[in-house]
Amino acid sequence: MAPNFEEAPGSSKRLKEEILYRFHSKEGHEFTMEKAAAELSGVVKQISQDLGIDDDESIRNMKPIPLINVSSEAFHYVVKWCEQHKTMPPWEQDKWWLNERDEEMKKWENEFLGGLTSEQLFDAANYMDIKCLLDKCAETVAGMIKGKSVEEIREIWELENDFTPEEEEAMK
Amino acid sequence: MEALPNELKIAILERVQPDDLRKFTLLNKAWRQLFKKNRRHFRRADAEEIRFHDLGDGNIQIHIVLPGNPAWTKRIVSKTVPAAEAFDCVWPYTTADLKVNSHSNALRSVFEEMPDYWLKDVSTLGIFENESNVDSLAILGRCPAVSSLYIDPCYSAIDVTSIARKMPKIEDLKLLSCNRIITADDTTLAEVIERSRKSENGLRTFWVDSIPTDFSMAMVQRFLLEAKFSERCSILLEKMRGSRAVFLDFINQHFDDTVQSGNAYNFKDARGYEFSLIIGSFIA
Repeated sequence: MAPNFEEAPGSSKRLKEEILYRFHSKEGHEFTMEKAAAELSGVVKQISQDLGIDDDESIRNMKPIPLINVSSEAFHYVVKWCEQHKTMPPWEQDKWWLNERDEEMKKWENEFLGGLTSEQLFDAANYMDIKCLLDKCAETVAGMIKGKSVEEIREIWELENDFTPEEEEAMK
Repeated sequence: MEALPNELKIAILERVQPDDLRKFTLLNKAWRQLFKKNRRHFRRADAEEIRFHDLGDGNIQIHIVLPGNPAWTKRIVSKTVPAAEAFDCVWPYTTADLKVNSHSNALRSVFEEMPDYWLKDVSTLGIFENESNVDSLAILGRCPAVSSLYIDPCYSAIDVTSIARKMPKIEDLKLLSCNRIITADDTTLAEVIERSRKSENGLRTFWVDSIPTDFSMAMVQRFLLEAKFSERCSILLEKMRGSRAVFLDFINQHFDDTVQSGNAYNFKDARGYEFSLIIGSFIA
């Protein structure tokens, strides 16, 4: 069932005292995200920097950031992810394997991504440059094909085998 | 999945276990190309040792020693392939111990074409030149982590000081020259002192016994007092300038439990570390 965006954590109906960034999804829905959560996105940080937004009042007065490539459904999950991770230590970008999460967080992440078709969220994480989500999506997809045969991976990912029989023979 | 941008596909491949990686070369042409172009980023399995043997007929025999726990469960994967395919065989592995057994001229191009990233973790390098055209110094120059080097036999026209300078730290340096145009002198010992002090374990082996040496006694004494040695150290020098009696006095003065037998001196330092030193001859 599609999420109810009016009651979602990113709904625009939130407490006034929170410092919130506002966003417009591809479909034109307005979402909000708490400052620390939104700033997990490299794109949000870059836009703020480009516009000279450097205090809470400026964030409050900022126009919604248009996310033309992010669907409302994907953004709903992005907000959930970022709110859950807003207090985490800064993400090691180049050495992703050094980032540690406690067992409770790992369990939450697995349950969160386990229920999703991750491709749309993966795209959103990439578009918004959210490293921790991007890494987790990549890890989840890599885990999906662990121990699978070539034929099984083709089936899961809906890939067409475009090798000729001669090429396949040569690769054995 | 095909719609994902390449950077995301690469991010996925970076997290795939080494055993599953090869499958991505077999999915379709696009994945195969993506894989080959970016494989330096992907996970590789640890091999205890990798040996290349030039079979002399254009083929290379490769032995990949895979670790086992317990140790007796370790496996050796053996493959014989044309030289042009040698790297594809070893790419999925990373090793700290590389042996190059070069009996003819096929391995030179294999190592010239090998990307630097594959050599960056090699800490032990053994090269058996055996009258081939393999370029030992070039290989060494591309292995920035080498601390143990064995070139045996060594036909190249290289000097030991320049070899030592290519090693950031030295634990083993064993060179057996067949052309006697390699030389080692006091500058060599100065480099070995400095680089042994940077190593974790200290110097274990310094064998330049078949190489014409021009070591002064003062420098050898400085070497024995200032280099960092491991608990057991073996040193072989072809010759040294100075008197045997003066040198023996020096050993007795600075070390304990000295036993001399012919050209061999065994002694211990104050920590109980054992030295085995052979000096071929003393010259005036």
